[in-house]
Amino acid sequence: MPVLLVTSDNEQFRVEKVVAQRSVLIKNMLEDVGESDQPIPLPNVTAPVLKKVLEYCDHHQTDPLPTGDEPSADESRKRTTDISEWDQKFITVDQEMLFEIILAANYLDIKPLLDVGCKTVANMIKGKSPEEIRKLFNIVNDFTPEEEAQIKKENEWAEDR
Amino acid sequence: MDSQSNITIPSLTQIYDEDPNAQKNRILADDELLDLRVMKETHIRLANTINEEVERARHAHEALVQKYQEQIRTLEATQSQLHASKRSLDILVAQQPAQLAEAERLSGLIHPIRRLPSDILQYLFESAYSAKDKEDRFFAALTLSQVCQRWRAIALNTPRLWCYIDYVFQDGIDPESFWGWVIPRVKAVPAD
Repeated sequence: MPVLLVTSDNEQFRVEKVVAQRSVLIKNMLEDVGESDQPIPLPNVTAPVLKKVLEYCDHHQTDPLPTGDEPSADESRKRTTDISEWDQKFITVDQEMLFEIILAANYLDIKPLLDVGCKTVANMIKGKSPEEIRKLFNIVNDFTPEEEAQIKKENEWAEDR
Repeated sequence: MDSQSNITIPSLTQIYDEDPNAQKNRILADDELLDLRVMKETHIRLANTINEEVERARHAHEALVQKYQEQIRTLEATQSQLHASKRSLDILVAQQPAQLAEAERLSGLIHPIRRLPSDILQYLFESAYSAKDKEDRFFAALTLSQVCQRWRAIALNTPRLWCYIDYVFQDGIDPESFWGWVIPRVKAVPAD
């Protein structure tokens, strides 16, 4: 039975239940309301982002669902930055979309997608200096002179490595 | 082209040289008188023609003077426009870096990484940390803590980032101050 999802910009997506249920949030909602053809509002997700997220859910619809009570599984997922070829291609998007996907995956509670997003960002910052990371994400160096002095001291530990 | 005359004016010297009456007070014969009257008429006609040419040349000259003055005025106006345009250009060039800096500041403000909740940023740090070889993890965590105040607060309050330390003390490094900084980070998480 298809499920109707409504985005924050009022676009409707009709998707198969098995696909929608990759989101633990939607799965719980469906379980709470039971069989119903009522549209499910997703006020924190825009249509372009949901389209991308559903593409992921559709591709992974037969994957086993994470149970949520396995912290060790969480850990093992985090321990590697390896991303499958399909996921790699899927997540090759601009920074804006990448972070929107991460935010949507967090809101919709799709752990494996959140992992793919976080691993992609982790790969982007791998081997970069703080200044390079700031430049990459337009982050302002807002440290006080006291904090800068402390950081300088910490950096002495990294000298002659 | 109007100013250029095509008329030929006979040389006066030549006329006087050929005139048998020059410098003499003799009474002219009738035929000579006739010839001289014709000659005089010719000179009057020539003088009139020259006069017309002079007028034409003067008008042409005045027209050229006027044209020259108009061109000077146009040139002066263009020069003034040129200076004004250069001033505007200089102002715009001077403003460009400020606009770029403001755009960069705004793109920093709207960057979606700012909207990541702290727990997601923490999750992201743990992913970045776990991706590193064990001996590099401490320095990876240190890098994350040196990006900005928010990242530092999150990194320093994520014990898992500090629970594996592979560090060789070099000369001049005070172990007490090193461990004094690291141990509060680790808090209750058991070291690997």
